[in-house]
Amino acid sequence: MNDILICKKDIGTFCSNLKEQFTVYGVKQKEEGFYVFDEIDEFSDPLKDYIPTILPPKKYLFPQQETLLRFDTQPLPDVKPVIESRKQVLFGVRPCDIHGISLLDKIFTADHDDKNYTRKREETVIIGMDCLEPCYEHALCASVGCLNVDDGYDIMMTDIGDYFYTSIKTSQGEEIVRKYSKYTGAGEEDRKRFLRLRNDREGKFENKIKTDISNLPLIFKNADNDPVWDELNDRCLGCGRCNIVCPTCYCFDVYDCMDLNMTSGERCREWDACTLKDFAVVSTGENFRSTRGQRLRHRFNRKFNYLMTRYNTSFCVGCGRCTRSCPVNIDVVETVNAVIKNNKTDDK
Amino acid sequence: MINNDSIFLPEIAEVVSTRQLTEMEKYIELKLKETKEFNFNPGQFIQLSIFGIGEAPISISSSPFNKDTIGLCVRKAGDVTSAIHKLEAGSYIGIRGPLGNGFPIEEMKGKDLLFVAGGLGLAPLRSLINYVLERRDDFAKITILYGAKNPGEILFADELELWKKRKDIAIDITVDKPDDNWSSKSGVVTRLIPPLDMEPTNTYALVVGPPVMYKYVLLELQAKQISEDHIIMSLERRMKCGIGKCGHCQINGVYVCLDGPEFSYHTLKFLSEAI
Repeated sequence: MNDILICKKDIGTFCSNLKEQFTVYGVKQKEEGFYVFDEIDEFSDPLKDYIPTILPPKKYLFPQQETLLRFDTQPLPDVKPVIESRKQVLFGVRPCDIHGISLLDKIFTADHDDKNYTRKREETVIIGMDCLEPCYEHALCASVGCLNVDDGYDIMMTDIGDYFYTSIKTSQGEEIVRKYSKYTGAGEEDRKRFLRLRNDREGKFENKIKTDISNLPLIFKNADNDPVWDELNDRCLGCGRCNIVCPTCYCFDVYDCMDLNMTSGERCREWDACTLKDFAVVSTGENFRSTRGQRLRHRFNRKFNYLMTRYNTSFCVGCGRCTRSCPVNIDVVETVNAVIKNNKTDDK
Repeated sequence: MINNDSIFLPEIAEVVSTRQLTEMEKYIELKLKETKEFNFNPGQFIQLSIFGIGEAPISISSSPFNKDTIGLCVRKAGDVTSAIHKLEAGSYIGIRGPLGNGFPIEEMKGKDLLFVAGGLGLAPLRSLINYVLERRDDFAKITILYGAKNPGEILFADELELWKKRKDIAIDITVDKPDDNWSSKSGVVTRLIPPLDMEPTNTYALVVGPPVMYKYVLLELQAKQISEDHIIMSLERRMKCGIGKCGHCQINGVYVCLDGPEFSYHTLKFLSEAI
């Protein structure tokens, strides 16, 4: 389908119509300067200038807590998988968070398909909202190659004034636009305006990382003993906030919950955080990452080395939520640049 | 065998026998309800479920030639393993697996094998030893070294006696703290390595024990000039999924569940948090 225009005043109706078939989640202001993804009831005035939400929209694909199994232990164990999903629309997802979801797609389909995730993903329509201006000081999307997004969404909208210039990526996107939205075809003038706005944004987004990101895995690999980790060891509180707000953190804990009858119950999973003290403790008591510095080093390496090497793409999508949420102001850009400065190998 | 409907869905298995090996270790034998033949490689592990308590990764201790039942040697350490200790024949539990890869048996064929087991490390090695003894002609010289803390903690004592009687393998056992009835060697297992007569280029060392043991055993094996990629160790980690999702067992860029749990020293020496 060719690009289309959706008039801003028609967005509310579009979203209400979507509710016929989907649960619709969009961005709401929680309090001054803080935004959340939440179920949308009234959608008369869609937000456009929001900064990254407190939690990324991954919570609708990989909830903070979810049931994996339901079991009865009497008379004999009877176990059933629990895979919950619903038809849902995520409305207004920014490029950084679309990249985040695409990376989760890789993780949860690698080696073994995690149906608790993939079933939700299959039933999810993503309507993106492109960024034309840097959203806030913590963002580093352009630095990690996540400002532009070519895949991982169904529909992408760009604010060009009175209209959203709308590109349709998937057949599902086309179907819902045809079914639920008023629109007109985009003309040559609209397309030029769109391209000019897109073009103008180049240069507005600063490259904050002081090397090409493809160098980062090697730099981090050689930085195990960098003093930066000692310094962070003294500052980090080991609270796990940076993990919890990250669009690409997916580690989880699994535990059983018995019902009050003590014969039936559930097996659940819940977000876990590799910066928490007991994350790598084994039953004999050994902790393979016992210090906060080691755990934070592990977290940074996951974003810029371990997973980047395994999947050949940065696992930081540049939303800056970790920096914003850190109670002791540990800054992802400052940290990465400090590691680069101390460990940059001469170009050969 | 990871279920197609849900990677978290275990298959039900019946406990067919249990045997208290020591105060802390119990041997349980399991039979799967649906799967008739349980195929695995020595060194692989399973996730064992006690419904209502949780899941724990346990290495398989029985011979891979026994496809009817699965034998596990379980030390009472946490909630799940304590619950396993309360199981009796006729109980039902859940199993996911086999998980992980196991020892590189194909590469080991034709080579001298040196087994070094410390404490509970004998549990996964027993599976491999049973394999090797069954296929004795596929391997050259076989030496088994086993160290336990004290005589009361020696695992599979009856089986060790049988192995001692075999003329085609050498076996040496030591305890850290002997009691009055102990007439064999005492001291850490590491001490049994220097006197061995080895052909370093033709030897695979299979080493399983607590982290503290690895450091000292490695020194001795290197003194014997066994090449780094012929020293194979098995690692224990916290695991929640066993299939590379939950993140708990990650050591630098590797997942113990997906990439291990056995690794060569050549791989491990580059991983800063391995041991």
